[in-house]
Amino acid sequence: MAFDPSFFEQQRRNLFNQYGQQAALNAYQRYLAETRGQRPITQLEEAAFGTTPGGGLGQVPKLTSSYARRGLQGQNVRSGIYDQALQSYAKNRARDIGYAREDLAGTSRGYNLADTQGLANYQEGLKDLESDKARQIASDAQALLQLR
Amino acid sequence: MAIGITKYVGAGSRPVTKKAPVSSLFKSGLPGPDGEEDGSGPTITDESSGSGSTSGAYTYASALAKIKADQDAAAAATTRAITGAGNQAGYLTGLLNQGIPANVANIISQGDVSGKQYIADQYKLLADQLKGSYTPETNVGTGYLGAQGRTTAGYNALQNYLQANPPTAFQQAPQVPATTVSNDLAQYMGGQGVSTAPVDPTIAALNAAAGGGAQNYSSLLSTLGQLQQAGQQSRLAEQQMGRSGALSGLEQLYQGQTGGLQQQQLQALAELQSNIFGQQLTAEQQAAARNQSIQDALAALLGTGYINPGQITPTTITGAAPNTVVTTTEPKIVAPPVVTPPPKTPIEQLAAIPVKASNTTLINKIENFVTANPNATAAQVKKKFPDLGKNIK
Repeated sequence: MAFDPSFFEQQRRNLFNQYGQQAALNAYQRYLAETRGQRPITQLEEAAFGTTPGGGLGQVPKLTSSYARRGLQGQNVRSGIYDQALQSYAKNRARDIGYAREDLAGTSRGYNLADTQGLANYQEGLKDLESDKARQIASDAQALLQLR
Repeated sequence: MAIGITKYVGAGSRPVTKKAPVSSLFKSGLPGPDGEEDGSGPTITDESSGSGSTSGAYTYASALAKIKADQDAAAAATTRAITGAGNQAGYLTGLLNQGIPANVANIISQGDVSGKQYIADQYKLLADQLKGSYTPETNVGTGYLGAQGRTTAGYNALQNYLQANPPTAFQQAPQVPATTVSNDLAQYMGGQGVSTAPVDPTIAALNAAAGGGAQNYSSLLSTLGQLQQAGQQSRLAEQQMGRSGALSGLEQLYQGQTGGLQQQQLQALAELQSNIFGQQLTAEQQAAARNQSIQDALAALLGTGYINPGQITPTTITGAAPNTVVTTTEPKIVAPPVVTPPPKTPIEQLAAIPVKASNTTLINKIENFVTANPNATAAQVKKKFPDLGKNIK
């Protein structure tokens, strides 16, 4: 019945350990998810222009060479087919990259939210602990008075 | 007829005193050595037989002297009895209606006062223990104040903690900026003379969606932050309610305990009062019984006839208990005057000695000696009658 602060210290340590484990796991999962999410973005970016020997993106889309071989594109050559294909390609590429980036952002937000919620739970848990402690003190005080 | 009684014989005649024969005075048969009256009487050496011519006068004078001595003794005894009865009546009358003796009343009164004081002291001691004390610096205390102090300290700690740790998790949550997408081929398309207009709506839609997603997420964090803030306010209110409830509980408990203590005090006071009343009643009963005994003694005294009722004041017991402090003044006992009968002369003592009537020789000898020596000393009597003179003083 007597007030024992060590009991609450034990609970506080448990809360902290739980929060730490959850935060560490979340951070690792975030790392994996970001790696996984960044991969299609990189692939999409590289797929459009190819890469230069120095490792950078090329200046001419890969699409152009195939149309050029068929005589639909080249110097002094203009065709509606090529124009439409280029516009469609640009549109699709932007959409795919946009989707991939948004997916990655969404995933990151999910892990951030999990992190934040873990922290909030930890803070709320500490406050619950303090409330319990105050209630226990009051209860003990009343019990002691009742013994008289 | 009794000796010495005056008798009137016939009308107009002089009162004639019939003198009793002296010899009759000695007709008291004395028991012999074996306890039986043998008529021989004590052995008396008869030294002088006497002539007998003066024996009548001697007998008469001796009888008169004896009668006078008896009458004086009776009168003295009566006087003593009357005086003693008067003194006794005065003493007893002084004891009447004195109620409870002051010392007894004082003891009862002191018991009442000291008992009440003891109960009050005990109540104060227990009440102080119940109330207890509290030292904020050390958070150490006892009793009600200790419980109150610890409770307040506990809830103060909670309040301080809550105020020092406002909810910050969602306010400080890492934000992921809205993603953007652009037409990477726009420059190339422009160089090829290809219009980018068909691509632009797609780009705008994607950026709008990304912006919306970021804003939704931010809104979500804001909402969760507000919820946590509301939770914080709720906790502060809960802390306040918990504090009030706990303190009210302590107050209620304390009042209950104090009420119990007061009830015990009232019971103790009632018990004390009952005891005091009982003691007072007993003292009153004893006083009444004592008064009754005095009345009885006075009545018995009246019965002796030595005093009359008018000499007893008051003559009745009022029975009313004194409502004021009774001061006891012991009545003075006046020693009655001792009336001592005049001592008998040796001759009177000699004449009073019983002698067997049959021993006329001795009787005559005594009569002759008394007549001849009415003022004889004890030594002369002892010399004349060695055996009888042993008792002559």
